[in-house]
Amino acid sequence: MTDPDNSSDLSEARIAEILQKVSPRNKPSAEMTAGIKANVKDAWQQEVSRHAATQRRNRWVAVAASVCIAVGAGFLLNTEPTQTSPGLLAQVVGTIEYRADDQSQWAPANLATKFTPNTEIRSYSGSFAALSLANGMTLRLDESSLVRLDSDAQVYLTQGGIYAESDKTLIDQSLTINTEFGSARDIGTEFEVRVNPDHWRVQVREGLVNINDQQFIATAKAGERLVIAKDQTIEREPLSPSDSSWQWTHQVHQPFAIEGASLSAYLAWWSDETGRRIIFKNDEDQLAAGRTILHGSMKDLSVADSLLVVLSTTDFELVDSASDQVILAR
Amino acid sequence: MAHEADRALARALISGNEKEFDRFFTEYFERLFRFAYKRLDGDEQTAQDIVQTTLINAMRGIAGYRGEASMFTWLCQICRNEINAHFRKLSRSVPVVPEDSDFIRPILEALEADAETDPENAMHGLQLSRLMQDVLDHLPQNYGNALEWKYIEGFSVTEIAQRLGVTELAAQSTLARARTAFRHAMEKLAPQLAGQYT
Repeated sequence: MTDPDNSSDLSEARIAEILQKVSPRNKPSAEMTAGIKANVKDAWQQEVSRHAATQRRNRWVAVAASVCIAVGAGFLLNTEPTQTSPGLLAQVVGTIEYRADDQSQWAPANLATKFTPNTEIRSYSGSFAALSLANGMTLRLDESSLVRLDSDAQVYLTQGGIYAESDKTLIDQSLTINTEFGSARDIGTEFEVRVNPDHWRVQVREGLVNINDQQFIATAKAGERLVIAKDQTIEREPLSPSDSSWQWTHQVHQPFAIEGASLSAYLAWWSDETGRRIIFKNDEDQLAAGRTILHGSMKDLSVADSLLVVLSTTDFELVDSASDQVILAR
Repeated sequence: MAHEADRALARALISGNEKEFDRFFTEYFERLFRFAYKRLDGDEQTAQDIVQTTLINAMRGIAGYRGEASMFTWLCQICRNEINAHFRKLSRSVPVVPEDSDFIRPILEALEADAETDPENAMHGLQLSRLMQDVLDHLPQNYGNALEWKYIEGFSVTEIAQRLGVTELAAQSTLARARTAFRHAMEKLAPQLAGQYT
């Protein structure tokens, strides 16, 4: 192949002559490149999820506004219903597959895959997923689970467990998790529903959940676990928000982008994830946490382990630790 | 609209396309690292921190990218701001590098465009190596790499093809296009450099 314009004054030989005087460009190490890429990817994934949630909220507002305008103007529009996605895949660990209502084959689901109503989603052993719903709630899917996303307000759990959490900045969120045994409906809370062959289980970390079995209605409060057998026998027991049964949810936690964030923001996230309260030794320390800006990354750190690592980069230390709280001081 | 390909890349990123994220990182990370490294007197650790912050900020603001400047120019501007903030914290003035001078910077930023002039006598008395490295960094990543491998590091076309993961014919084609892009860059630089240094 020849240069298209080798007749130019700057011939290939001249280019070679110029570039031979140039030192090779400096190259960052593979280790540094991988580390930075992982951290940037965390921030990117967080932005993708945040942007998708904002878009969905804007769409609901736009739909609501257009309905108001149409009603106010006295028009009755006869339009075909548009199929709005009830949710998308916000986090993936391992292999997650989905099957749309009109499909017979399962397909791999990737980050930001948008689901249509009535789509089934399944996780394999060792695989976990987080779904961002159109109503602002998040669903985390445990390993070896199968769920059908009927809408952003209704899901049907066939196998395994799911954990639902609301966006605390939004109101009027509600999700009903249906199972073959009955349904659990929350109003702005964090809870888990799990099905087994002979019973189902509802446990609540925050808020209230209304349980509607085929034979009865019950309420589960924050810090309670209800195990309901097929014969409608109910076992109600207290449950700490930091109980080990919540730990699987850490597999698909929303990554916390630590670079540039305050220690307070990180601690609020950590407390939310672990269910353990943060207590400062005094008010001044609490204020100082808001002023402390963090740098680096939490890549490859578990939620639980990240606390000591993050604190080690600040003036703060862990003074005392219990199963339901930690005490920090400078 | 200018920089349509870069706008498409931004849209793909905000939609969560992981392949496009990988392509974005491969295309810009090394070039941005060198951009920072040079402006930080070769302080690798600080360059690492600043480039990471730059890229994280870029990802947080990617929805706001409108294509007014090329993606690389946009990233460089974010990086410049970070570098300035770094020196402010140290109460030090920001060192000026020749590549940031008023006459070279717009040229480097406009390397996507064409121009025509004779560059032959323009290189005298210049920090050639640094400037040429910058020129290579402002070309598309595979062009800069192909030229560096061929003319600076002396790899054969076969080796370049292996590195690019393409056939030899495709590698030759890439090299030809890279030389054309390099020529255009030099043609743009030549009159400015001649006026400044002669």
